[in-house]
Amino acid sequence: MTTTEAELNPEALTADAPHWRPGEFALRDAWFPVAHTPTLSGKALHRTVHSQPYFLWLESGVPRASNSHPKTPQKRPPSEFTDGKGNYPVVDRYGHIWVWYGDPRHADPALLPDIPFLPRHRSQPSFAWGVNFMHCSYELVLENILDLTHTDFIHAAYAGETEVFDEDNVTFESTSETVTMIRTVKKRPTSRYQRETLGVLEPFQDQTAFTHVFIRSGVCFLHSHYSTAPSMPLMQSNTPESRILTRANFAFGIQQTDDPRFAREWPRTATIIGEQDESVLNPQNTRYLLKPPHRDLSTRFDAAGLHYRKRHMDMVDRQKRGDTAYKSDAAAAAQVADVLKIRRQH
Amino acid sequence: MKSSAVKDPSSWEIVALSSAVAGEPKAIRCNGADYVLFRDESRHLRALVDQCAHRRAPLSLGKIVGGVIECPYHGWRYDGSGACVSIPNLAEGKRVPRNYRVAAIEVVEDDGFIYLLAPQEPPSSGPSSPKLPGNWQPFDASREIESLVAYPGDQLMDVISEMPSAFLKVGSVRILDDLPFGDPVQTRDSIDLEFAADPFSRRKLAKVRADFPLRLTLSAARHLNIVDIAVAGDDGMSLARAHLAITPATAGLCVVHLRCLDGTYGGRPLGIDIRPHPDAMLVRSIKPFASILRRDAAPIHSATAQ
Repeated sequence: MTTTEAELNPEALTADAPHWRPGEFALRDAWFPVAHTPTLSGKALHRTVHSQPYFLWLESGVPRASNSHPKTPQKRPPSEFTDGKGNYPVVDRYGHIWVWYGDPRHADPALLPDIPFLPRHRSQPSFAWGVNFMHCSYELVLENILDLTHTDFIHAAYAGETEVFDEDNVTFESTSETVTMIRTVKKRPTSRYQRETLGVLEPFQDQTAFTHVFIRSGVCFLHSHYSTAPSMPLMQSNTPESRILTRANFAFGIQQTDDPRFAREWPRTATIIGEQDESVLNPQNTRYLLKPPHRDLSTRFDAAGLHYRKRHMDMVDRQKRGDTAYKSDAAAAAQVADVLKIRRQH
Repeated sequence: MKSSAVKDPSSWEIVALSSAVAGEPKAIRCNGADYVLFRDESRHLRALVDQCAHRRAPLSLGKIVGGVIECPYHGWRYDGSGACVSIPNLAEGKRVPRNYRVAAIEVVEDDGFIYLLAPQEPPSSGPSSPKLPGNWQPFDASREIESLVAYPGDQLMDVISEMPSAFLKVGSVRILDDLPFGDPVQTRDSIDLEFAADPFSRRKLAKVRADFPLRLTLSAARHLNIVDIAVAGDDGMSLARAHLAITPATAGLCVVHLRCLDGTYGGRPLGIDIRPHPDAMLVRSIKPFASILRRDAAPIHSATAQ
């Protein structure tokens, strides 16, 4: 893995991706988890990936994905993303239905990310999964996820109030397919949620927060370790339905905590936190969409996000040239149990 | 009723009531662009482009801390000049680079309204300050209203000039659009109109009425979307007044700002109000005249010019 320290000067950081255009290009050849497995039945669901229709249903207990509703007499013509009959490659794993967006001949299940904190062949209980919608491009959602300093303002009640900490360090790692951000904070005030809902008494705690994003698909893993409070990892799909809508199917790795009350309570916050992010992401999107290139200003805390922009632009450039192949570091990028410091579920 | 010529000589737009900007930032959209208004520590009005230089979050969702505005997303703070004055958790000894700023926009306050010099491309060669009509008379309002109206802002003033009753309401008084007192009067900076008005309570007579006890006067500024409205008796004494300003927010949407000085007539309260939207049937019957005169920089009929 490429490892880079974030201690760079702000002006240098701004030079990384001055012409970054979220929503400009649809990256292809990736698996997208578009539905939770328990939601699938004989009645077709409609999903969208990069504005392409996907109809999902169960046929004799087997998931199917097609570009047309199974009951419509007017079938859409097959596209280059489907086989000759309009079917997409589809896989059921980790409690999600994954569909392939790209050349169906390249749809290898080995390219599915490894999710060490979710059971491989069954779904989580219903209280541990759900969906949020962000009205913006998925690139902005991913940058938001890699930028953990926004939690001090947008999610202060859950992550901890804004104060000057004893130590605040952001580092990142990346491959051609992924970017991982690690933020270490020493002696941060415990959050209102931890005090009032979890009963944490200590006024301060040390935190290490991880986020791991897959550039093509938008899938991400988030996890934090708190010195005085429980935590659990989260998988979020961030599927680009269009340039103005991102579907965030999420599932919590509840088996990673030994606190059953926390396992039930924490997933409830997902909708609130999603709304808090939506409050800035939605207006942010209109300020990027169809606007001329414009250089954003940055600090050292944006290093991971800026690196994501650069990696994203590299992949866009590569795919524009017709190269959609996965590089040799892709397999290593999928192994994240050690990075997240979690127990493997399978 | 194209009215781009109204805006060409000047890019000053009336964007809000002064009273609408107090302790919190106020978001405004004018000609499709977003701005944020706030008051600094000295209570001076400030306007910035509503977009943080960091990740383009709207500053208007943030808060005012010690006279500077704080972005809601990552806490970057900007003073009234647009300069970024603080970034959270910057390493000790590190200062915010001088080029870290957002664009500041010129604003002034007058007669209870906020005027913003909306940037235009190419830059406007218009006046350096908003140009109200020479005979403009400010007043202390007894009532203020701000309302979103789903109608093109630059055309709403035309509707008011041509057929005031299509958008204005005056309590128990009927505005007689079809009984103007003379031609519109063109001055260098306004177009002035006068219409007959009649209390609804007056008994209808079989014969055609020849005189009316009330009149509605309008004085619409040429280079600003603002109009002075008054209901007066036949002696010319003002009974109720209003200053109505329009911000063209975005395509098909405007914000109407109304400052009113309510009065009484016949022992009943009398005030000038607006409809939720212009009356389509009345708008359909408009034969454009006053709006054309309003757009003409030079008076057409010098004989009627004051």
